[in-house]
Amino acid sequence: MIVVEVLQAVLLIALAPLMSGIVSKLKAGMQNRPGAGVLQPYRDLYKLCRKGRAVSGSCSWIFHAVPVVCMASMLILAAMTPFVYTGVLAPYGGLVTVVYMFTMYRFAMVLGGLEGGSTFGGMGSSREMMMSVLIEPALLLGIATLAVLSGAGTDMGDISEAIATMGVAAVGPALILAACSFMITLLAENARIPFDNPTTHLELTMVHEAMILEYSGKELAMMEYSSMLRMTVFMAMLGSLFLPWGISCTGEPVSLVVSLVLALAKMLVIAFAMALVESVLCKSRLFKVPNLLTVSFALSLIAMISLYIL
Amino acid sequence: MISQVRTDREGFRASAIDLDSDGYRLMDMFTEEPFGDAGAVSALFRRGDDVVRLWYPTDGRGVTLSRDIPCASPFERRMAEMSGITFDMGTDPIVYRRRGDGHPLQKTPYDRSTEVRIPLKPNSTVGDDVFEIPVGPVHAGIIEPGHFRFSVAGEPVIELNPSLGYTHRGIEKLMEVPAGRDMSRLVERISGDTCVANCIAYAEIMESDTRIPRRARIIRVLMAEMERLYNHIGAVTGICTDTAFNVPSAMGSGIQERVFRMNMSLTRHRQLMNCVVPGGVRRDIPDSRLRELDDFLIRLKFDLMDLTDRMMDSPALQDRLEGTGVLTNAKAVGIGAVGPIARASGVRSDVRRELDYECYGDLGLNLCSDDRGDVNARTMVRIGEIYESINLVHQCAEMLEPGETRVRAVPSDGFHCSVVEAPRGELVHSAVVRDGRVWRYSVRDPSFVNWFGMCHAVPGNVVPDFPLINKSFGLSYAGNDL
Amino acid sequence: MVGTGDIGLDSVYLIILFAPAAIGMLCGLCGRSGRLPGILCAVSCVAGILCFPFHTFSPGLSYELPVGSYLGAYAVSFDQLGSIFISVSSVVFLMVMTHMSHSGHGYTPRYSGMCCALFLAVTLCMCADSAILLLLAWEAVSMVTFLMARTDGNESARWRFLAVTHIGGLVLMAVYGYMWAATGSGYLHDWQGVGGIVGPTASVIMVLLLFIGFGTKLGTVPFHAWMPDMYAASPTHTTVLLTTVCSNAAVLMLFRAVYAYVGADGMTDAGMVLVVLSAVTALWGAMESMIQTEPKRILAYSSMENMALVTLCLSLGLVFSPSSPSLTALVILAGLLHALNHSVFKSLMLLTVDSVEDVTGERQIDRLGGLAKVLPALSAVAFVGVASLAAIPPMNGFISEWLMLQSLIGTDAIASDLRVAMPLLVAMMGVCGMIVATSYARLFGFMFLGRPRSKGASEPRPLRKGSIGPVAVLAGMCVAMGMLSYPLMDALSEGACAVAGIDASYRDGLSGSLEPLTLGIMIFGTIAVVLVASRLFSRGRTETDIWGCGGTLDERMQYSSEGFSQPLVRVFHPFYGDTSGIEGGRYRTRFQEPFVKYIYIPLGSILLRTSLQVKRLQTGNIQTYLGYILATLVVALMAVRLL
Repeated sequence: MIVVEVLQAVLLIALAPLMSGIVSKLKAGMQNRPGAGVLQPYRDLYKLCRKGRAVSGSCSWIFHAVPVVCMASMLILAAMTPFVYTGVLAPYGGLVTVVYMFTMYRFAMVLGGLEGGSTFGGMGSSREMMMSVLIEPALLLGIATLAVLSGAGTDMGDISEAIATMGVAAVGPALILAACSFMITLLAENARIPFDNPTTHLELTMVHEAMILEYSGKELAMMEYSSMLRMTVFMAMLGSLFLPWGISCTGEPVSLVVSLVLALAKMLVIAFAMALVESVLCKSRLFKVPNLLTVSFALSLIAMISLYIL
Repeated sequence: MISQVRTDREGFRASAIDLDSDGYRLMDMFTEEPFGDAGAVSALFRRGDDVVRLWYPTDGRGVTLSRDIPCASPFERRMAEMSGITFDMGTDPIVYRRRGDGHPLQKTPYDRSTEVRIPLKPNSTVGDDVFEIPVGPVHAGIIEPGHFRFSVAGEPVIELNPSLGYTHRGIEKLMEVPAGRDMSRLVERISGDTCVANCIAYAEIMESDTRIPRRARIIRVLMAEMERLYNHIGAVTGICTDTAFNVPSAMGSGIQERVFRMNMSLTRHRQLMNCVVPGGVRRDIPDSRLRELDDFLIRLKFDLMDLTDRMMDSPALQDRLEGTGVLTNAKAVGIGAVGPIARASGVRSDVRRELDYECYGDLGLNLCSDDRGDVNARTMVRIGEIYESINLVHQCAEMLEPGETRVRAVPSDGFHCSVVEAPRGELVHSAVVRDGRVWRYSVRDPSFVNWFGMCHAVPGNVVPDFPLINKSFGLSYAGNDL
Repeated sequence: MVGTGDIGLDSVYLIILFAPAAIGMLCGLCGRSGRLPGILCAVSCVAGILCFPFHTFSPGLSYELPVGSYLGAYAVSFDQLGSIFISVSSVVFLMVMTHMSHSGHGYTPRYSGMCCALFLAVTLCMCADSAILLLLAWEAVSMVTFLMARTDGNESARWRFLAVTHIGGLVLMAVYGYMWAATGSGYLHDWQGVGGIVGPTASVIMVLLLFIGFGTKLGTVPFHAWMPDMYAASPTHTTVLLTTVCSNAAVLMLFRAVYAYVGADGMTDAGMVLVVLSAVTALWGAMESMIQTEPKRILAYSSMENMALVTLCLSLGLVFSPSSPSLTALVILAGLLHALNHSVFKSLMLLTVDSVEDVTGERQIDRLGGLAKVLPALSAVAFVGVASLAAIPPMNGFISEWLMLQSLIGTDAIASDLRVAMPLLVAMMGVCGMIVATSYARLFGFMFLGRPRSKGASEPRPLRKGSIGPVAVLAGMCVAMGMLSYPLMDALSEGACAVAGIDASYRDGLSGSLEPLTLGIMIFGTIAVVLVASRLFSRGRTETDIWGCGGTLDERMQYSSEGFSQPLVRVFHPFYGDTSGIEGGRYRTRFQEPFVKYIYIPLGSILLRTSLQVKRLQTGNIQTYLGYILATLVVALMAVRLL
């Protein structure tokens, strides 16, 4: 089974740029534009990798460590996430560790932003921290809801399996509310509209992009790739934890194939939902963002409490 | 309706204050060289269709008006910078930002090699936790160069100082040529997206008393309104783009592109360049194109309705726009703001209604205005003007009768002034012609005064709202720098 | 038990543990050289480090001084929990002493002597077996830290500390005295189950008082007002010792008093009250730490937050205890482990801050920056420190937070209706965790990253020789205690369960598995692989300036620390009560702490008003006073007569 676990991690890692490309393509379609091909992110990353780097003279080792840490944390997360099979390569610590791995990524990014030494990096870091203070509790609560709902502890594979075997019985207010909250968190964590504009050129409005403004070449490629992988991991988590039906629990070849097809279909649906949200909403005012995040927080809180009182 | 009043140095200030308190608004100030016998400082005031030129001879020392009429300050700064005239306050550089031996507008040869850049003045706000965010002149997007310096202690902007002057080309000096020479190609490039309005203003000066065929006048108005159309559509689209309101933004870009293509088919230039010349228009519009234009306008109106409905129906967008970047009515009057910016702040003024230049007197035109002065008001005023422009183009197309479109125009000696409503607002050209030669040509772009409006509107808003406010003002950098 | 006078290995150990420090204390107080007490203290510290190994080798070590006192005997005894605490605290103590000797602060011999005294006092607090010794040691801790906090500058902070900590001390003395009276024994091992003797109401009151009493030391709201000033004003090494080893002692004493003596039965409601109090403290500490501009103040408020998490766990134990012993064991373990972890990473950070202050001469984070370029080694250890503080896996801070979250998520197992409150606590942990992460990112970012903001930061003096060693050891411990946490957790939990009388394993309370070692290896391995892979495809590198949008950046054009936290301050505006504006030509932001505004200031004004009214009685006229005496006498006589 270790082969399947390795394969699904590799698949997730390889799919990340594609997912980003698909979301962009869907968004372009909704705007009546042909848009770039779905493989464009791969080309972009390749192009960045071949370029040289411009590094400011005032940068220290932290500047070069940040992309490495970001990328490593996301690779580990990819190995922790069940995608087509409930067994995972790195089950260490379950969902709580997942949250802290996200924290690790964010912490590194924020330090990278501050290391830049310009005002933009600090600006991005400061805004990122404002959002994450409200994102993290929602994420933790969503996870706690899953753990309590499934009664299978905090290991992601177990939760996925438990909810999948519960079938329709699992679909209650708790799961639905938690999934909604997770979807908002997904948008916020991945710097999508209405929280941030991933395609903006306006330095002053940036959050995520501002933090990586000083990076170039291969290091920028690593940062870009990490954020693509983060989005993909989030999508995979939404698919395999909140809508796990069809995921392979046994690892038999037939169930794996079915699970793979379903998983990809789920990813496409989520990508479509993301593109739709990004097309109907506009970027929110900076200090309205906390209100939106509070909604996500409240949803997950209600989800968790509903488990106890209903 | 241009009257000229000559005063002496002492009487100038009193007369200016009199005019100001009579409801005249200061439009422009400029100098004539060389100082001494022939030198002069002129101030142009306007109330309705009444334009007054108040001037006094000078030997190089100016009379400071900005204490009594604050909106004189930018003009005085510009005169001090470009002509070396001295005022006893407020002479920071504003459009050129370089200092050398002599000054750019002097009549004797000017050696540029001695120039040095004047360093930017630091912001005045200080505090332990206050820092400055410098943005520009190189931006991440394709926008004109301008440097902005924010003083902030977190997100809210405490102070904003723009410094422009990166696109100074010395237009005013280049305009000093024999009066008969057609300089419209240069005038079109004062600000690329305002070429028709600039050309009309230039042509009106050069035409002096020449009678221009009516067909040419109507075509000019038609062009001017097409120009306003694409500018305003671009500005409204920009609001959507900056708020990441993607679908309407893509729609807006599409609509603007179609206007460009219509322009192309009307005048063989997407931005209507090379069309208006002194004496008329360079090229006539055939009737087949007019029918095409008619169909186009009807479709355009439907598409625009779709776009504006989407914008107004989106609470998310309205939330972004309302209350952002408020320019109060008092501030707008104080800086002498013009155009849609002023109209959005409750200043009900439009040159097209006040001065019936070209054939605007024969056209029905509604004035769009708003009292709130925020980004939303500016957007709404622009949207209103888009529909008005469509209406005007329709009227022009119907009024067109066969006739000639160009005559020979010769400017007469003396002072000439023309005021035109450009898409960004009141545009003033003035010229002094001496001995068949343009002795001094002065251009006052609407952006030149409106930039100060933005400096007043931004503080108190958070940093990420600045691009939105900037876009809602939609100012020209090139027009300011000349 | 080793009897009195029995000369053996145990006695030798005790002599090595206590005698050098005692001699060092005397030497320091009357001697001229600061080195001797330092060396002697180090010897004691090494013995202290060996406490846990020695305990495993020869359990049940205890000793009673042959000469007793009027108030009872002086006895010590070492249990497993105590010895772990002593070992960890001693490591920290040793590192602080080592750093101190290389710090160049020029401490006086008396200061070194007082360090010895503090070591004695703290160790005795952790191992005392008689009430009188415990109370004396606890008082000594307060007094010695008060004396060690002496600076030339602001003295009001340490007096306030003395006052608050003595109020707490009095409360504790009352509780311990009551227990002493109830059991009739001066030996602490006889106090087991005193809760049953005094009855449930008295037990609840005692537990509340215990939390308040120790809370004054740990900075529980509203008794935290002394903390930041004291931490910022004292010499850094005093601050380190105060916040690490003294807090450890307080946590251990609190745990023993609550769980061993009074017992956790029937404390659910009281526990919930304490949970709320701790949660408020944690949030408040986190939020305040984010807006401070002095590194020591940031760390002071962070101590408040961390200690609040510890008391949160200990009070949660009270809530869980009736329904789930394994969950209780888990949550207690989380709290105690966090206290130990905190002492390691907090001492690491404070010592780093001390080095930074030393080399730059700057005490404001807004005047630092760019130090990672010139002090890479120091920045690396500081990075480990903030990573631990921010609970980044696989550091030790992560392990204890993971345990806390596990215990909160596992509450499905408890029957109480109070479990509905657990989601709120999970959310609290999340908010708190991210705010402190912001605060530490800010601390690290503004000290070490970016461009220098002052001359001191751009041209720092070279780091003192030997001052990096101790912090490096502590950084190593942060990693080691994270990755090798299972043996530590097992030992700690075993000790804690023995003290609290819980018959369950914390592992049964876990609802997920954690393999810190594998996780750690995986994280470091992946980082190494990515690093090597990225080096393989190395392309050209151009040295440039920082992107300044076409201009050059001057020293004002970099984010300020207050600017960094401003968005969050704005989000939590009602709690910060911040107002900003131009004052005297300078822009500044003022914060009004609600505790000061709504508790201290009204309380102060009420006291003042009452005193003013009482003052009217004091006419200074002898006849009036005689009149008072007469009236009192009459009333007293009548009262006696009537009764």
